[in-house]
Amino acid sequence: MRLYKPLIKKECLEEIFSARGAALYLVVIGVLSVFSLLLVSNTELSLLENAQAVYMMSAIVMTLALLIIVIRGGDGFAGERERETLETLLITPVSPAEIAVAKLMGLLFTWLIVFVLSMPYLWAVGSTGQNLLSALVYLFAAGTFLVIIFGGFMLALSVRMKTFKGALSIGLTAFLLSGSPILLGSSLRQSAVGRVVDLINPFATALNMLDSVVVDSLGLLFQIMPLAILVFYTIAAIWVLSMTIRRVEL
Amino acid sequence: MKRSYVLYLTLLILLIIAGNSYADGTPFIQVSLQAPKSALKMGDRPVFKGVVKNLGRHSLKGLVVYLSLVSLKPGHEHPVDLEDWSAQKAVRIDQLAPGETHRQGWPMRLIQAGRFGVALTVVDPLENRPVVSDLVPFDIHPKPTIASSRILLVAVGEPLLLLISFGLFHWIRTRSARLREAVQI
Amino acid sequence: MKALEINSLKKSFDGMKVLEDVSMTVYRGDIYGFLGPNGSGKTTTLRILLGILFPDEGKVAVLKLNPSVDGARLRQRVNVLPESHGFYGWMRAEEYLRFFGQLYGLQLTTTDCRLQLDKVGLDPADIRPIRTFSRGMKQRLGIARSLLNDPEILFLDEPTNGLDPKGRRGIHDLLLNLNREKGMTVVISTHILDDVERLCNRIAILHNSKIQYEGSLFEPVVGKSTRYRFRVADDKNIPNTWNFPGILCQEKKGQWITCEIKDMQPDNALKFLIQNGIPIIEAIQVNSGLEAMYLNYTTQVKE
Repeated sequence: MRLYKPLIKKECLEEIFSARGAALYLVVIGVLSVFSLLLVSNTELSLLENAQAVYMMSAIVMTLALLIIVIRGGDGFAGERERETLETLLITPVSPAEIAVAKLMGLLFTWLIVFVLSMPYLWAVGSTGQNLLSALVYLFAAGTFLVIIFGGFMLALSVRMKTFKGALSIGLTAFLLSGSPILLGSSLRQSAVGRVVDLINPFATALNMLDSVVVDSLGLLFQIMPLAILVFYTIAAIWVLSMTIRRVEL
Repeated sequence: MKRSYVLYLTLLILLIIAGNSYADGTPFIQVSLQAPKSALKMGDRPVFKGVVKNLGRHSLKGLVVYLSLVSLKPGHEHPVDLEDWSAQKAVRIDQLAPGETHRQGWPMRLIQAGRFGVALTVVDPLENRPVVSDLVPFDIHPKPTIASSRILLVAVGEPLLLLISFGLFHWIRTRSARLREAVQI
Repeated sequence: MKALEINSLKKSFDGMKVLEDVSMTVYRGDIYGFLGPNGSGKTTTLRILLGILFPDEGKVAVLKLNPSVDGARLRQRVNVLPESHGFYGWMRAEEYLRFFGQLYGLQLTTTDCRLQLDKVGLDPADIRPIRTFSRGMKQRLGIARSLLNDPEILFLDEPTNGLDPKGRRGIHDLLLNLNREKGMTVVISTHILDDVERLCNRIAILHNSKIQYEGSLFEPVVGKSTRYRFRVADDKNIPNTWNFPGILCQEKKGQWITCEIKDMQPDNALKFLIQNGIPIIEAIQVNSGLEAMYLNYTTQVKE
């Protein structure tokens, strides 16, 4: 346990003190600022109900956060291997599993930062409407699950791939595929194929859950199935990572 | 005998004049428009119901029906471009048999608040005067939307705050290292 | 007493044999030179000794521990300076040392970090991030990191890479001091034969996946004479009259004495001089046969 602390601390400090970490957060709030300004200036968007606006903002927050997670997860081991810092870590008493846990905690810290940065935007958009508190709670919960899922799979990929570029290209493709059903029209998503795709896609599950809570004001009982799907994927991601981390190649 | 010829002639002239007048003031097309009954507010998508009826004895072909919108705000009356309000601007009725009624829904997206009037116009290509329904006035109430002042504050303030925070972190980190250095010396 | 022992080590990557029947022994207190051409398997051997790579066959024991089984426990007691080692560019030198100290369970204070940096010739007052360091400075920082946990065995892979001659000499002195004062066993993998001659007492030459030579750096010299330069702790310790049979003093310059040794093993000559009150702290063979020996063993055609 004592070795987790310095590793986790290093992962978290790297978020704040490295130029890349700072740049990613600036991009996040840049996008949120642009979307917020569109909400007041664009005719179509300005007519949205508060709940709808909060839901859209939450979806953007989650998407941006996961994009950062995919990038950082892919860099987890492959990037350290390229920068030649992985061997320096492995020659210490630290085990690869401890490094993986610390990196996953670092990704959760990233999510925490993005969530905290997005809260003022959600407040500004949704404070005059309904379900803001529910939106925040479910966004945080769903986001946490998704971060572990995507982060875990990306770290596992990063262990196996020799280069960050390789891990990132596969990870981004998978991320885009998981987001693409959302671009389908609502009628297509209501079809049998659409429902199956939604069921196997944790990203779509999380967004549907947010929609039902924020827009449709459905309570916890209606979220049991989506939550169960997210928990299943979370366990799967952790299992895959633990299997992959047993043999780390330099 | 002479008196009766004058009477018949007068009646004939009157009939001709009346016939013409009837032709001008009493169209064979009847058009009406009905607004939704509920209170309307910005963002709503009501459907105005238009009815076109052929009152004549002949079929009417190639009728063009279109919606017009005007702003009735006192002092600011003006026609409104339906570009952003409605996707359906005009329809063509191929044929309307005598006595037949054509019903059409006219959906609209209410994108501004205020007092407006809408009318339905029917153009018969064989007639030189279009037939217009009564102007249907309606009020669109403003919708409580997103508080723009809050949005502006956050959208502009938070990026600035983040930049300042990063700068502060680095300054504190450097300064604390220098302080430790000074203490050591 | 053995610090580490390898017997019949075998390792292949994707069907290609990298190590085939490698055996070597390092004793406590040795400064052991591990030589071989590029790609001969030196780094692979080091990684197996540390337990971060697993052999296909063979027995490995480091400080009586099996690295494949007790890797974490072993790495608590040894340390390594790998050939390619990156740094976290955003960290400062002190933060870097403190972070790695924590991985060894050490809570280093600012003073501890400053002492470590000073030991390797880095300015402790430098608060710039590591990404602004030169290659030589990074190498020194890496050496500082490798000494944090006072390792019983220190593995160094090309330790003087990127260092100027003064820097190289500084590192040599540091390693010699650690070996002499703390009894630290040092295993150096390097191409620089000068470093081997100055530092090492035993060497192994790895070529064609096998150890071609393992033994003392001082070759048998029966019937031959060899020339050595000895450095004494203080030039006041050099006696005015030199009367040591078999050891002819040819030149004295400051702390250095150049001697010709006849019909005697150089290490015996060294012991003899020390026993007779001459505090020798360094010995270098002049015009050594190491280069010739190295070339001889490494130009053999692969069977």
